[in-house]
Amino acid sequence: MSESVSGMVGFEGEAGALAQLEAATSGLPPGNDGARTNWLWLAEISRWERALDLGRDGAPQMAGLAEHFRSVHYLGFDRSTLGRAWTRLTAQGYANVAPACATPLTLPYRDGTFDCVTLDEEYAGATLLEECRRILRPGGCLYVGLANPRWWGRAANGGGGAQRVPGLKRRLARAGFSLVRVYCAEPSYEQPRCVIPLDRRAVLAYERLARGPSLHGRLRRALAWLGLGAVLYRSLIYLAYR
Amino acid sequence: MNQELRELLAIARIDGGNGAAVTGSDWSRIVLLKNWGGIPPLRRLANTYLESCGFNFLLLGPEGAPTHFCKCRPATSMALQHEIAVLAALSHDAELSRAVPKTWGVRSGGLQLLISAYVPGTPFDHTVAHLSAGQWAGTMNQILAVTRRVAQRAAETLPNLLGRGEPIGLREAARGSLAYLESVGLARGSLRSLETALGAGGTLHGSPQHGDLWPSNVVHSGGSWWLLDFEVFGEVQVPLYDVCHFVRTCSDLRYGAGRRATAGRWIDRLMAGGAESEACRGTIAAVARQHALGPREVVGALAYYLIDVATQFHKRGGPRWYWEPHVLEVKRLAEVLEAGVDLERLL
Repeated sequence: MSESVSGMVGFEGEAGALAQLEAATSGLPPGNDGARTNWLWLAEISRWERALDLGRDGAPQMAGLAEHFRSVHYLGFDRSTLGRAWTRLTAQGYANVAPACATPLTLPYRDGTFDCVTLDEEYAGATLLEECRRILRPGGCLYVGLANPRWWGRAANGGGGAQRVPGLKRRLARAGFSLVRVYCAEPSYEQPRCVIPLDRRAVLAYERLARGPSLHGRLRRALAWLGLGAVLYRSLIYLAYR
Repeated sequence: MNQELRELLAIARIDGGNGAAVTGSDWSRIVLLKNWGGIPPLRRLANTYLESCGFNFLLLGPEGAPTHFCKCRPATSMALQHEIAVLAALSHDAELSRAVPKTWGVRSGGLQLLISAYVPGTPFDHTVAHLSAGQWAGTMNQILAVTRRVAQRAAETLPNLLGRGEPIGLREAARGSLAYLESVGLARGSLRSLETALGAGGTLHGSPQHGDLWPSNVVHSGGSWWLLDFEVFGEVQVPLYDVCHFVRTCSDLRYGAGRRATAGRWIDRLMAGGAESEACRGTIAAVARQHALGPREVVGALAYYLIDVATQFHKRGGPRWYWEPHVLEVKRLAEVLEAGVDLERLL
């Protein structure tokens, strides 16, 4: 088994081999869909009427959102991508999704229209964050998934796109969100197999469970114990409440 | 936390260990694990394998120590209903109070929760690659003794698990899986040698098997070995299924850790000779003796195990690397049998 899976990417080192063996010995094949929107079970959303997906790559969370909310909008600026996503989703039986073509800078919706907005890192600029807050109803939740700019592996890997969004928590607060909660996602926010609250005790509990007695595992636990959990994970998920 | 989940935890009387109820403000007390599929499941997955769709989570107490381990699945998940029923019964058995975690379940319209008291300790997958071959064999025997005790108690407390208790004909039991593997390209010659081995294995008395006994589902805590994850407990009754799966997955982890590389296929490692191979074969042989199985029956049960696992994984789909190793093990076993290697003597 090991020789076949050794070329796979996604998880790192020791965790990688184990995760693949785990996938190969229990339950589902990896890559099964819908897991990306399970963050909704962690969110405190009191009304499940309308959601807006501002994600890239053809509405990655649309189907999952459509399972939870009564109606879901998908806003994009590429008409053909929108069309393909809509065709795919309606073919799957989702009649509660509606695409709209617009530049995702100013949002063509009234104040307080949505209960939930999802956003990917590429668009997380200050103007759009303010717009997201505007179109969320009070108590509504904004989801932002992004590569972690403080991940310790980033420097070793020669940087990357995630340098775009440092200080997102601060910018969310500046945009008027009253409460911001940060989670770490492993291996990535696109495939969040594990979602860990960015809290010293939670990170430590997770690291104790997930890593073996190797040097790598001990180093991670030491960093977690020191409260440096933010550097341990490639991806972060922000849930910001209006 | 989502209100539906919070209400279910309240119904389940989860109090985080210190009398403090889990509330919406306790956002940092839930760690999502094994998030394998959306709840509710996506519609386009309606015809695929959905039993493990969902996620698990660790619930932390107010001080940050884990207090409960929970599985979250769609309310329709038969596998989780089965696991809750099995574990609820077994965890009330005083004889198993240090082998099976205390477990109960709750359900709403769309969501089903299994809740287990958290077993603090070291999962065997953390240590298995670091043991010497002798220590490894000894530890496997301890764990398999616990597994046998759990199976015996399950047969007594959950008699429905055993069905009518009729002997299991290995060839008949594997017929559907062999037909499936043939339909996806297993050569006829391979099939014949496997059928011969299964036929020679004859009929065996059923014994409930854990079904997913691998190092990650075994935890050492408080001086005892605990078994976890009973989703498919009792579905397989063919003796030696658990020992084959356990020995193989342990061996894979040790091989993957690069410490004792011998050969890629487990079947080859089993036949290779040396301490690792001895540990594998000796462990299987010890369990076979407990079941009073002869060499032909052991080879038949081994063939049944490999065929069944390969079929299950292939049916679930997914990328090639996910199912291919299991299919290749079956092919390798068929080659070994065709080549006339005396597996009966080896095992």
